[in-house]
Order: sequence, then structure tokens, then C-alpha cells
Amino acid sequence: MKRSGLVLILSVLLVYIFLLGPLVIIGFSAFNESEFLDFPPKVYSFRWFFRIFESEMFISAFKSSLIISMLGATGALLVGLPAAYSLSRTRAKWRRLVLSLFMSPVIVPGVVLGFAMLKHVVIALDIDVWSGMVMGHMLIMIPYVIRVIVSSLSNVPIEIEEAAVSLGCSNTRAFLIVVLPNIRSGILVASLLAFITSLNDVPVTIFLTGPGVTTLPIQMLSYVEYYFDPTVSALSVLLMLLTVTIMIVIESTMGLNIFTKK
Amino acid sequence: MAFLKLQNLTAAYDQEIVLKKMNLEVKQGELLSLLGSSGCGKTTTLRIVSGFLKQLEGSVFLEGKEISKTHPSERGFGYVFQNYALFPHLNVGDNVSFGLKQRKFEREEINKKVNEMLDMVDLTAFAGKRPLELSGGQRQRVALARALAISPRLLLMDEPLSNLDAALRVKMRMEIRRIQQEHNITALYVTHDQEECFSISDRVAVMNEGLIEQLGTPEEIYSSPATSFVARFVGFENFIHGTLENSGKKLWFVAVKGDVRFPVSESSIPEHSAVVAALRPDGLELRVSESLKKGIPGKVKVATYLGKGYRHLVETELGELVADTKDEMFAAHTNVIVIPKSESMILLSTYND
Amino acid sequence: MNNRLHILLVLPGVLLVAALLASPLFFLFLDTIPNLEHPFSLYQSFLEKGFHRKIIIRTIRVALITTMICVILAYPCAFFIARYAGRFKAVLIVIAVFPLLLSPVVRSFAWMAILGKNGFLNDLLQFLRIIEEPLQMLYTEVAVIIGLTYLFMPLMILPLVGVIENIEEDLLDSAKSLGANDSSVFLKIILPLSASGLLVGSILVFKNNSSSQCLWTAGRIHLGFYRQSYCLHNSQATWWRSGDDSINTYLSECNDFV
Repeated sequence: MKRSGLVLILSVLLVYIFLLGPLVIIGFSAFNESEFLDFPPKVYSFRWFFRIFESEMFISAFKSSLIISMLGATGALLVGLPAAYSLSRTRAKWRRLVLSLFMSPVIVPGVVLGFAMLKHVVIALDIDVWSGMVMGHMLIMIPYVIRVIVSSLSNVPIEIEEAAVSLGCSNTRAFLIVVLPNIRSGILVASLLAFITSLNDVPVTIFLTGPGVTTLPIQMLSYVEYYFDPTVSALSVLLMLLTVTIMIVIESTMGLNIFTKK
Repeated sequence: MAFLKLQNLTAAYDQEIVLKKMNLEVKQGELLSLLGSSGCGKTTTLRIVSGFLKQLEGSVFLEGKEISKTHPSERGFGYVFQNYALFPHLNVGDNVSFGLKQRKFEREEINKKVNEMLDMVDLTAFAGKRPLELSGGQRQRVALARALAISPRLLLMDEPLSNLDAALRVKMRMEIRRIQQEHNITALYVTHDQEECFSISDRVAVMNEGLIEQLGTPEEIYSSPATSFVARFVGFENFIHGTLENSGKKLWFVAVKGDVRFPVSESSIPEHSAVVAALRPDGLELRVSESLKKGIPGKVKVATYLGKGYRHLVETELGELVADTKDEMFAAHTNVIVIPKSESMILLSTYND
Repeated sequence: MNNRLHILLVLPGVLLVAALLASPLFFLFLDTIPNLEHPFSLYQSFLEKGFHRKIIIRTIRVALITTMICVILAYPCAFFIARYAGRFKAVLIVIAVFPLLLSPVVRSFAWMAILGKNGFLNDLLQFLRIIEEPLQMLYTEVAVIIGLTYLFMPLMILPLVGVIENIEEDLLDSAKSLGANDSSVFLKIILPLSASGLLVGSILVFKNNSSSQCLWTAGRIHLGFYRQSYCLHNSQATWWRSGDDSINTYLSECNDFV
């Protein structure tokens, strides 16, 4: 078994260096004085970070991203929470079908989603860019909201609601004072996951974008097409910090096992 | 007038009929158990009484008034769930006071009642703890206290002890009985454990496939089961088919095979009809075949030690019989005579598996 | 009673997804069928152009290679994490999840920084005097494969970890006690049981491939449907969509099946 053990460890090392290495490299380049992506940097500086905060286009793109993602997340929660509750309690035959429907934005390629929405919703119904964008992001966030909240609700069996009702609560009240407090962390994690998915999205967004409405990743993309300097590295570092923060919050509330469970 | 009356209840669960025109009356202050194996409809009955399940047909009367239209939150019944269903985000004290808070009692009154309840179940020191920190037995007691805190008109308990280990179950069932009797609470208790059921109930309804097979006190059911299903449940393991004959002013049970006949005391079953004689393992005696006693010849298949005696599986021409002995063990392959003790014999008119 | 309430609760969500995903896709599909006599004429003319065919073949080829690399690398990795990692399991999972939560822009850019003419790899190779002139690595198919593998490796690792974790130790022990050697145990028990994880991972990787946005293809390599549809007007774009549709329906069916 020794030899195969060695193979295993080697493959793990290889894969993880592969996964983290590039991020480390651009992490370094973000602090590089020179505008070439040489590694290791000879001189360190923060100039690229300053550049970001001075750049109107990045700041407005970030603001737009924030607004879109937050609005979208709110909408996804409003729609997804009751749906998740219903899906976790019902034994009806349509349960599987509806669940698949809600998961479908993950399965359908973003390109197809974006294009289809553009052609048959935004253009066909003459919807303004902002609304279209928010709706599109709601769509891609729903699967995450539903999955996480359903998982969270599995820890709050229906007997607990029945107990509350038997002691004198109405059904709604039972949900509010007995179920909600226990899925608080689930709702938080769902919002965070949805938020970051929406923030990072490229394929769907690129179709729904329009004059005056652009998100941070799209802005980064167009920047890279013309310039090739560590500004994007600096942005990447900031995004990585944001992601790490979010992950810490997720881990301390629900645990990161939601990513490996089927 | 019965305190609780279930009339012609029919119910279905996931398209399957689980209760068939069930009728039951519960007296005030009694603990009545619904005994049966899973799927027999006992939990369904409880859920209909509590209002969590709607029946297809039939009515539920409490003190003469139909309550089927009343929302479960307004019935004032205490419900103890099988896995306790304690509120995980509240501590023990808040769990117990939950029902009282819903009824908008004054703070002092609530505190007084909570203390009273916790005292009753011996958990006063645990008021500030969360359910997660408690053991199974402690959670069970909190569930009980929570249900009793609202001074319920009826206490409904769904296999409350089945998740506890054996020793704890015995201890807890006596506690539940004590509390129920002390406070004269009417209770409907669901279980599949015959011993537990008999030790605490005033009356027992043995259920099978949506019907009550027999309703009576534990003593009645134990000594005179009405059907073979109930007989099996209370420990009868031997069923011998035969007929009742009248001969020489005495009533005789005559087995279908072999030359086996026993005198029986009077029976309500008409003569010449097919009957089944039921016996518990300790209702059969074993002798070596050389002895000249009259009985059923057979051969021991296997013998096991029970602690209080020995149990033998004996192959006879009337089928496989289970016979217990106290001190003597008959090894496998021994030829024996099985002698039924007629005073331990129960006659049943039908046999259904 | 309860069922009505449940239906009411899912209704807004169902309507939303139906309106934004199901019906647009349906109409998209309708778009690709110009009339009933020649329902697949657009598909035909699409596939007739050698250019298009080349793109499709290239896309499928890249997707297959990427999936294979991911499987080969991710499987032993997931195996190790699921069974031998002990205290490090949580850390390893965290590291695998982390790239997933980063924008693909960031991740693709990282590889641009590495593979570019002035990038890390070229600098390193020149430093080690293996080459004299910087190599052109970006904008090649190899670069695309590397980039896509990088994007989707975690998607293969994570489901596999979940599935392998669920294989009970007892199963393997009983196989061994019945005489199976290690490779038999692997081939006959572990592999089949983890097949569902493999399938999920592969489908995810494959599907994401067709939708991925690779920075370095901008203007250089025509990869996949993304590129085409972005450049063209709506009406023309319909043609490109048609190819997407068939793959899309196929993938959806696969996934529902899984």
C-alpha cells in the first residue's frame, strides 16, 4: 500500500499547487511596482490599488455590481424561502419536478441563459437594462438559495412546528417563532453564496449588460482586452479577500460541508 | 358520557387506508393505550385526535362536542412526540413556558407554573440549559413537562419512550403513570411495547390494520385474548387447530391430527365447530417419550437458555410447538411428549395470521 | 389542505423560473425551427459550414480532454481527502472550494499572467536557460485546456469527495475478508460506487466548458458558442444558438437522470 499511498499524496500536492499557485502569483504581482507581471517582484508598491480607487469606471462598476447582487439576492430570498419551505415539507408528487426546475439555472450554460433571456424577455417585452439584469441575476441565484435553505430546514423537522401549534400557535406564528430562528444561519449562508455567485457571474451578465450598466467582472474583462497591467491583479486580490471573508462567515455558521453533500 | 369519543373514523395516509371505521370511547381520568405494531393505525388515530391529520370520515367528540373543525392550536391538548420535538433555540425553561406564553399568562404565573412542572419531572436545575445539552431521558421529561404546563384536557403521547434504552424506559414509564394518576389527567398513549403498555394502562386497545381487535383492561387482554392476533401479542405462541366435541357430559377439545384430546371447561363456542387452542410456552409441559403420560409426541429441534428457564422448539405432527421448562433441559434430537395444561389453554373461534 | 398551501408557496418561484428560463428557452428552440416542412434546415446549414463544424469539434475535443484530465487528477485527490486526510480534510476542502467562489475573470487572468510572453512561466524557463526566446503560450489550444481545467477542477473534486465518503468502511472490509485483493476492491467496489460522483463531476465540467469565457480567446481563437453569439446580431445569432440548444437539452436530460 505504500506505493499507492505515495501516488495519492503526490497527486494531492500536484493538484493543490495547481489550484493555489496561480492565485499566489497574481497576488504577488498586485504588489509589484513594475507593470510587467514578473515574478518575484523586484520592488513592492501599492500603486495598482490606488489606481483602482481612482478609477471612475471600476468604482461605478463595483457600485453597480453591489446594487444588482443585493437586489437580486433579496429577490431570490423572497421567492426562494417560501419555495424551499414548501419543498422540504411536502410529499406531493410534483416535488422532484419542481426541485429540478429550480436547479436548472445551474445546469443550463450561462451563455444560453443570457442569450435566451435577452432575446425573449428583455427585447421581446421591452424591459429596461437594470430590471433585466436584476432578474437575470435572481435567476442564477435561486438554485443556491433553495439548496441551502432546504438543507437547513432538514434540521428542523415538522414535529417542531406541530409542537408549537399544539401549544397554541397558529401555523404562521409557529413558522415565525420556531422555524425561522433555527434557519437563520441557513438564510445567511444562502444569501452570501447567492451574492458571491452573482457578483462573479460573467456569461449571463454579458448578454444583459447595456449602456451605463456594467458589473465589475465585465469591466475587468474589457480592461484586460486593452491593457495588460497588474490593476486587474490588485482587483483580484481585493476580490479574494472578500471571498475569504465570506467563506469564514459560512464556515462559522453552517460549515463548508454543504459543498460536498450531494 | 364518554370524555373522548371517536366515531367511525376512517383515514388514509398517502392514498392508503389506515383506519377503518374505528370507534373508541375514553373515560375521563383514564390512561388508554393504543397497542399495535407499526402501520396499524395507532399514530394516525392520535394525529386525528390532535388535529394534525384530517379524517376521511367520522367524528371526534370531546365531552359531547364535535371538535374536528377546531384548529389544533385551539384544542388545548398536550402532545408528546416520539423524538420530543423540543425547540432547539430555546432553553428548557422557555420550552416549558412556551404554551403559557401563547396564552398570554402573567409573567409571575408563568414562572410559578414552570417551576412546578420542572419540579414534577425533577429537572429544576436544568432550566437554563439547551436541549442539545440534555440526555435522551432528560429531553423526554422536558417534553412531558412542556405538554403538561398548559393543564391540558387530554394528554396525547406518541411512543414517548421508544428512543430510550431499556432501563430508562422502565423507570420513565412509572414516572409518567404516577404523574398521570396524581393529576387525574386523561391520556391516550400509543406504543408497540406490550409490557410497557400493560404496566401503565387502565385500558388497552389492541389494533391491527386499522381496526381495534380487542379493547379491555390489561388483565382481561392478557388472560383472555379475543383473537389470535391479540393472543400472539400477549405471548401465546402455540396454536393448535381442532374441534369442540361433546362426549360424556364433558366438553372436549379434539386436535385435527393425532390422538390428542383434552377436557375443557365451558366455552361459548358452539360444539362441532372449528376452534384453535392457544397456549403460552409455559402452558406446555415436556416429558421424555418413555414416560407414559398422554400427550403430543415430538422431537426437540433446539433448546435455548432463557435465564428463568429453558425454551424448546419441538417438532410434532401438529406443527412446531414452543415449550418452556424451569429446571430441566431437553437436548436437541430428544424424543419428548408435549402435554398441554388445560387450565392454561385459551380457545379461539378463528385463526388469522 | 396543506397541499394547496405548498403549491401557493412554490408558485412565485416556479413562475419566475418558468418566465425567465423555461419559456425563453422554449421560444429559442422554436426560433431554430423556421417551418414545419424543413424543421432542421437551420441546423443543417449551420453544420454544413466547415467553419462551424470546426468550432464544434474543437469545443467538444477541448471539453473531453479537460474532463479527462480533471478525472485523472481529481480522483486520487478526492480519494485521499475522503479517506486519509484526517485533520486536514476541512482545510483541503476549503482550499478546493475557494477558487469556485472567485470570479472566472480572476482565475483566467491568473493564467494569462503565467502564460504570457512576459509571464511567470516564460520568465522561469528563460531564467533556467531552457529557452532563449519567450514562447507563445497564450492563445493556443493548450492554454485553453489548462485554463478550463483550472476553472473546473474543484467541480470534479467536491462531488467525488462526497460520494467516496459515503462508501462505508465495512463494505471494503467484508470484501477483503471474502478474499479480494486491493485492486479488486478498487475496481469492483469503490469505482462503481463512486461512479455517480464521477458522472456528476464530468457533466458539470463538460457543461461548463461550453459556456466558459476564456479571456485569451478574445479575438484570437474562436472557441465555442460564446464567442459567436456575442459578436453577432440577434437574428444571425439564432443560428449559433441552434447548436447550443441540442447540447443544452441533452445535458439537462442527463442531469435530471442523475
